[in-house]
Order: sequence, then C-alpha cells, then structure tokens
Amino acid sequence: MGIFDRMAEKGHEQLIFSQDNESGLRSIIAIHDSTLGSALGGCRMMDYEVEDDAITDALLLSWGMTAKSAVTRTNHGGGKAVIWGDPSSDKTEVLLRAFGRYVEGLGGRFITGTDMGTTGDDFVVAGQETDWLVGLPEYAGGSGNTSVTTAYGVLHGIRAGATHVWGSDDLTGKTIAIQGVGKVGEYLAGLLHEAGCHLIVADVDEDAVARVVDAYGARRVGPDEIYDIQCDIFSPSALGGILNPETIERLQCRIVGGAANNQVSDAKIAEKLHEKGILYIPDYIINAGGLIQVADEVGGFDRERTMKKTEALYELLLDCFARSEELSITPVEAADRLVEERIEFLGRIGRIYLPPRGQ
Amino acid sequence: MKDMEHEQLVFCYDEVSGLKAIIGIHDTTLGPALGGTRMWPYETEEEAITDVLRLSKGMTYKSAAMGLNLGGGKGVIIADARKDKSEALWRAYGRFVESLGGRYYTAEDVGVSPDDIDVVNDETDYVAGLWHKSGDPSPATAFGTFVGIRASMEHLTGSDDLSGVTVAVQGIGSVGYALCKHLHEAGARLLVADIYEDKVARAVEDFGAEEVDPGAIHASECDVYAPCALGATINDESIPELRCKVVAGAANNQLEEARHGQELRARGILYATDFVINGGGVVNVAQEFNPAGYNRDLAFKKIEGIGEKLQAIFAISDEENIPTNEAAERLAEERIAAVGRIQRIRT
Repeated sequence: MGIFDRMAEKGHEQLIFSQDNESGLRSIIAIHDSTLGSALGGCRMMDYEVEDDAITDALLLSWGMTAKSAVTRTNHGGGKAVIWGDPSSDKTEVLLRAFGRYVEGLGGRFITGTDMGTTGDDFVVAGQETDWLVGLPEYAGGSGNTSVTTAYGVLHGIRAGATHVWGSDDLTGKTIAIQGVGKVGEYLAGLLHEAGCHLIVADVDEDAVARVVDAYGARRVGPDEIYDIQCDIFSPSALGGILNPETIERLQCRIVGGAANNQVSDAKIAEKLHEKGILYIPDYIINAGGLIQVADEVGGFDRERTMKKTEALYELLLDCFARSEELSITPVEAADRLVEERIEFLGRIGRIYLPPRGQ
Repeated sequence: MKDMEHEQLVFCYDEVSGLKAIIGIHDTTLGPALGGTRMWPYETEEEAITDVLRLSKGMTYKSAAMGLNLGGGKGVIIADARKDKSEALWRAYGRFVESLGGRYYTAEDVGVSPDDIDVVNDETDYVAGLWHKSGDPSPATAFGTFVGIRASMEHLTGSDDLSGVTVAVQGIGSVGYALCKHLHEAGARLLVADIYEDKVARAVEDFGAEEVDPGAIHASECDVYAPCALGATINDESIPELRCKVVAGAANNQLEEARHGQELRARGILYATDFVINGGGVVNVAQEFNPAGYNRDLAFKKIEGIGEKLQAIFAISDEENIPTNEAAERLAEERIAAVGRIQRIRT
C-alpha cells in the first residue's frame, strides 16, 4: 500500500521523512490531526527491521495521540515521531540535534518528548536546537518524571469505575489485582493502599514485588496467576495487548482499569468485556495523567494545576460510562465518540472569524 | 529512506479536498528551499516520489550554480490539472507550505497557473513568482538562454556576434518564442520546430524562421541546437545524428543520462549545461527575496551573469578534460560545501 493510501485510512495530515547524512538520522514525524492544536506526541527510537514498520508505528501512534489529547481536553492534536535506529548505539549528540532542528523547522506544529528508546536527557540535548519539546527533566525546566501523575490519574479512573459499578467511589475493602509494579504500578499500589484497598500484585521483577509486599502488605502471586485472581478490580499496569481472547475468559473482576497502554489486543475484546458485564475503563483515558502533565509544560508547568486536571479524569470517565449505558455501546466506543464530537465541534467554532490579536 | 540524500520528504494529505501532495526539500545549506509545484496525474505514488526527489535536487544545483542564496525544493501534487483543482485543494496545500515555516518556498510549475498560486498565497506567504511581483519567468529564462548561446559561441569562435549563426530551436512555447526574438534581433538564422502548427507559423512570420519537422530538428545542419521543450532529447539515438557545434537550450534535463554529456564532449560538441543556461527564471524570481523588493532591471542584469558562469564551466571542462555537466555540478557542490563551512564562523 502506498503512503497516501495509508494516510487516508485514518485521515493523517502529514508524514514527514527527515534525514541527515552526517549523523545518520532517519526520522519520521506523523501529524494525524491538528484541529484542536499543535500535534503532541513522544519520540520513539527503535531499530525497526524495515522502514514500513517505522511508518506503521508513526501512523498508529499519532492517531492514538489525537484521541488521547482530545478526550483529556488538552488543546492539542495528535502526532508522533519515530527515529529509526538503535538507541544503545546510534544515539549521538549530532543525531539528536539534527532531529531537534527538523522539529524546530515545523515551527511548533509538532511538539515532542520522551517515549520508548529516548530519555529526558536526550531532549535536553535536542533542546539546544528547538523549543518545541516537553517532558524535560526538572533540572532543565521541565516537569520531570510523569509516573506519579499517571498513577494519580489511574486512581481517579478506578474511583470513577467504582462509582459507576457500586454507586460509591469509596475503595475501602476493595480487592485490586495489579499486574506490573514498575514505576507507575508502585506509586499506584501506594495510593490504593492509602485508599484502604487489599492489594494483590504480580511482576516478573522480584525486587519490585518485594518492595510493594513490604510497604503495603500486598499479596504476591505469579505473573500468570494474576488473571485468575478473584478480585473487584484488575489493573493492567505493565505490558500492552494483555487483554486477549484467552485472558479475558479467566478474569474474575468487575472492573478493568490500569496504566498500561493498548491493553486490548483488538477492538472486539472491549465488546466481549462489555458483554461479560466487566467495566473496561478505556486505557487512553485512565492513563492520560502523564500526557496532562507534559502538555501543561507548553504554557509553563504548574504541578497543582496538573493534578487538578488529572483529577478531572474522574468526571470525564463518569460521562463516558453514562453514555455507554445510554447508547448501549462500550465505554471505548463512547470515548471515541467524545473524541470525534470534540474535534468536530471545536473545528466548527474555529470558523468564527477573529481579527489578529494584539501587536 | 536509506538511500535518500534529501533533507526532507513531506507527505501532505487532506481528506476533504482530496489533496495528495509531496514536498521534497533537498538541501538548505544556502537558504530556504525554492522550487515550483507541479500538478500531474502520476500513475503511481512511486513516480511522484521519484519526480519530486529528482526535481528538488535539480533546484539545489540550479540555485547554487546561479549564485543564489537558496536551497533546492519542489512540490508535486498527484492530481489531474484539468479536473481536480479546487479552492479548498489549493488552500489546503497553502496551509501545508505555511506549516514548514519558510523552509520551503513554492511557485508555479507544470499544471499550476498563476491564479492557482494566488489561492495558495491566501494561506501562506511562502510563495514566489506571484504575477504582481516577478511574474511570468519565461522572458527571463529566454534572455538567460540567449546570453548562454552568445557565451557558447564566444568560447568556440572568440566572438559573441550571432549574425549569420544558425540556431535550431526545438519547441517555441513562451520561452522558445522569446528566445527566437532575441536571436532574430541579433541577426541569427532560425530553424524552428514544434508540434503545434500555429506556433511555427508565428515564428516563420515574425522572424523569417524556416520550419523543420519536429522529429528531425536535432539533426539539422546548424551552429547551435537549442532544445526548449522536452527533456532527454540528448540520448543514444539523437547524439550520432547531431550536426551542430553547440547544444544550448532552455529545456530541463536535456541529457537522458549524465554519460551523454561525455559523449557530446567526445564528439567535440559544446554543451551549455541545462541547469546553468536555463537559470534565468530562478534568478528572476529570487530577486523577490531582495529586501528592497523585486526590480526587473536588476534581475536582468544578474541574468547576464549566466554568460560568465558558463565561461567558467567551459574553462574547467577544458582544463580538466571533463564534460561540462560534470564541471557545472562540481562548481555547485563546491559552493554548497564552502558556504556550509563558513557558516561555522559565529556572527
């Protein structure tokens, strides 16, 4: 399939191939939709087998960012960058700065930051060439680590789920199975412990599990056992694609809500969960705290405001669940509609003419 | 992408208007990339990519050879110019050009009219060659070609006097016709060919030109063969049939392959490298970047410099025994490298 056919599938605006002979930079920036504002999305560095894989990644991830930015009401469109290369051997100052110049060349239509294979420090380097970066470390004027905010957002998402299912956001006494207690999962465990939950945790990293067991009295189970646990809430907070035809038959919970990206292996899984009476909290909303945090850097970061905006995920998800019920559609479909409507309506008010401001 | 030597290739798509555009930015060492936008019903996307890569690279060399502070770029729109144009399409394209923040300046090219570019201009300032500025580049291209023909004859005979010199002009569209006028006024004898009869008739009447069959014009007994229409007219078949001393015309990409430049040299035919002799158009439009604004007299003064540029290329070609197209490319590359290097000096 040609590039334009692939862009047409989801209506991408731009796909920008940039390269630099000196540094060996090869990057692809995808801008999916900029109706709501400049396209925001991380920059992934990966040693793709073929160029086509890099293109696919850029197209899909930028499309996901449009939805995430739209639904969480950060006034941004969706974009994503991929650098085709091995982050352990190909990443040099010249490469990062060449990439920075190409980002700068888009004049703010695209804003990027860390993703798989790139670190905050990399963007401090790239930042010597461009201002259009977020997710920078605190020492460089950024907002730093986003894990705390992401975990905070997941807590509020789970509370929204509880309100919808049990009529109260009080989590006291609820049993929660957390898959993955990495950075975000560990913070999340702490927050849920404070909220009075019983925790059951699994992770391939034994040390991480031990920390959570010690600190919060969590019960440990094997990484594969976690699916079969009798619990109120299952919280996937590690890998993507873990909700698949096999695993969802094993789930013994009422709510699925966690921090992982792309939790369902395909769209049909969300329908199946819905049919089984399990409330699936759309991943791209419940884990949006990190995005909310970095988007706040664009106008000057403020932690209090960021936390306030992250708390709003609660209301947003209640709205989403209500619609899902009203229209007999899954929460994911309801969320997708919220995205479409927001882009459509805000795109339309953009027609109201305003004379150029100031100066 | 692995073999790409270009800086950027930008795919732009708009669902509503059906716009499918590719902007190629080859090299911006010398300045913002300048190059027209072409609308063409490419059969495949691959063809469009090949075209935009080739044409944007050509613009880097042309602007570099002309001594301009411009890099090379080009836009192609995959569409049929007879039925796919719309206001929304041009404005969507304009917004995408604007989104590159001035790294790329567009202008008209095949399939794109001044009116179309005016609509593009509604959405972006990064447009050159507007009718109320430098306007139609054809007279400038024709004048540059005329200057180049004089320089070529001077190199050959020691005199740039064209009276009595026979020039076979292939293609008498707007550039070809304007070139014939210059040549006629300079006393040259004209042989002309075009697939359009009315164009031939006009040249015959206005300049006393002799009509030649379009399929045989390259083989005319003449001093100068001036291809002013199609590309790739210098190829394995045509070269043995040439009976000229000089190939000097306004067409783009006259050599089918680079090696044909060597073959012209081997036959003792002087080749006025296409991207140098036809650079009048870009020199003209580049004057719009002059802070004082476009000035036609100044533009034409600069176009006269094409003569000296060709002389320098001929000299290198003779000294180093290399074809003129190679000498011209080398000069362009050396200029880019040198100017790129001096940018290290902080100001």
